[in-house]
Amino acid sequence: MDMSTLITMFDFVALPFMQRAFVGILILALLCGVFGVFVILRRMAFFADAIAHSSLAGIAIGILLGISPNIATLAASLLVASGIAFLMSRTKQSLDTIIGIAYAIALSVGVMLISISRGVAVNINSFLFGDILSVDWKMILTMAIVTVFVLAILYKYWRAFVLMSLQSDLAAVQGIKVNRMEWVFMLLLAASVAVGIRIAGIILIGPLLIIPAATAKNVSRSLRETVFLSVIFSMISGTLGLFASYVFNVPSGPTIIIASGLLFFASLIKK
Amino acid sequence: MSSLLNAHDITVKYGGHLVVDHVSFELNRGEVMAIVGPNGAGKSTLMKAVLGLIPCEGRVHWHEDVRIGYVPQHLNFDRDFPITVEELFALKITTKHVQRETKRLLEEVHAGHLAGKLLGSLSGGEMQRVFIAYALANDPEILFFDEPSSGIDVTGEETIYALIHELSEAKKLTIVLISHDLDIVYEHATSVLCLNRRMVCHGVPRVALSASNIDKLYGKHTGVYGHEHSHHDV
Repeated sequence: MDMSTLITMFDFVALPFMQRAFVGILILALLCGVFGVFVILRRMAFFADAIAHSSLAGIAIGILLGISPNIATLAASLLVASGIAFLMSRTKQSLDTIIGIAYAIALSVGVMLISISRGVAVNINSFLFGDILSVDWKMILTMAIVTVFVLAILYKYWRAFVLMSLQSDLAAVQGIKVNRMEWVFMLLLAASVAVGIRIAGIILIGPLLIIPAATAKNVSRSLRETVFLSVIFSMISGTLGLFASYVFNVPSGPTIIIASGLLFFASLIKK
Repeated sequence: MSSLLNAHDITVKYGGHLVVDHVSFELNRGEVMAIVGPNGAGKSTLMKAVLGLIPCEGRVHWHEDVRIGYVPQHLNFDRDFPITVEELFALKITTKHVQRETKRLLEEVHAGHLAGKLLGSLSGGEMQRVFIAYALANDPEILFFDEPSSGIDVTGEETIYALIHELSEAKKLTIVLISHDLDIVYEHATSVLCLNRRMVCHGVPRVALSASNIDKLYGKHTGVYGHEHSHHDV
């Protein structure tokens, strides 16, 4: 490979949409990297997936009513998360049963709304698998604000979130309002999923949260290290996936997940 | 002696099924109270109800601003949770010098060397010591132990009870512990609450644990009878 080919290969660095995509993926990697650790420690991977799939209804309503899909996604995610938390406090069913019910209903409503509207299918594909290359600065700003907000709350209530993930009785004896904090956690998760959908897509935002965190957990010797490495792995797979998607001209969501999957398998060898 | 805790008519139901049935007791400062009873007698449930961890009927009245330490059954922890002992203590210690304070607390339970270890890598006995030290953070007046010896071998079990005894003497702590071993109760407790859903007896161990009460508690022909001695001879 001569020098000029190499330069042509990296031409995309100068492209404005690639720069936006790169900034977007780094912000999302930071958010997912930190939050993902809590998702796996609290065994809430299914919940994250359910919120993502449910947001299809929000996207459909947003498109039908002419509301920004970003706002509609956020609203739908928060609503479904609150619904699940409410049902949890009212029934004796297990969490996965309730999630399974809420998720199926919300997803079905989404598909139904989309099929009765016309000309929407074109947009939906990018919501399913992510369309990082179409991310604009406004979206990046929204992501940055949500990320700062989520991480600030996570930092403020760090003790509560870690302790109730480890042993909720111990947290309660220490004066932590466990039920209230569960709600806060679910809402933060819903907000994180909603902003991540634009980049990773409905199908792949869940894996983006859990794979780098699981990889970090495989190789870490402390919680601090797990969070740090989770962010690093998330950023590495985001960057590799983004460039691969440009070079091979394939959707960005799947390439990012494949990159993080490869890191995960590499971490198993180390373990 | 002043009263730290007054529990009146505590009743807990799970799905219409009575698990703890109208239990009342008082706990005084400096007391070491053992809750004994067969499996499924509601011992842990009673403890959790008093601590406010599960809803119950009845009244629980705490002396104002009591600082409580709690040692749950260690088997409830996820051993895959990637957290070091020191990181665990940082979740509770409110002073600036977390590292120094962690070391001090661990040394009180003779486990100073465990600070940097991953929680999941500890043995049952080590884990129990770590959580006792954790309960001691922020200077509690009363400690609750839910089966402190579960999952620990016999030697470890004796050491844990010796440690609890040592702490209660040195720090003048009030202690409530759940135990299935009557020898331990005779040796370490100043009072005993016998529970089999209802309260079968309550008082000084030698008096409360009469042969007839033990029969009522565990059923007849259990082969467990009152002890004349107050020390282990095993």
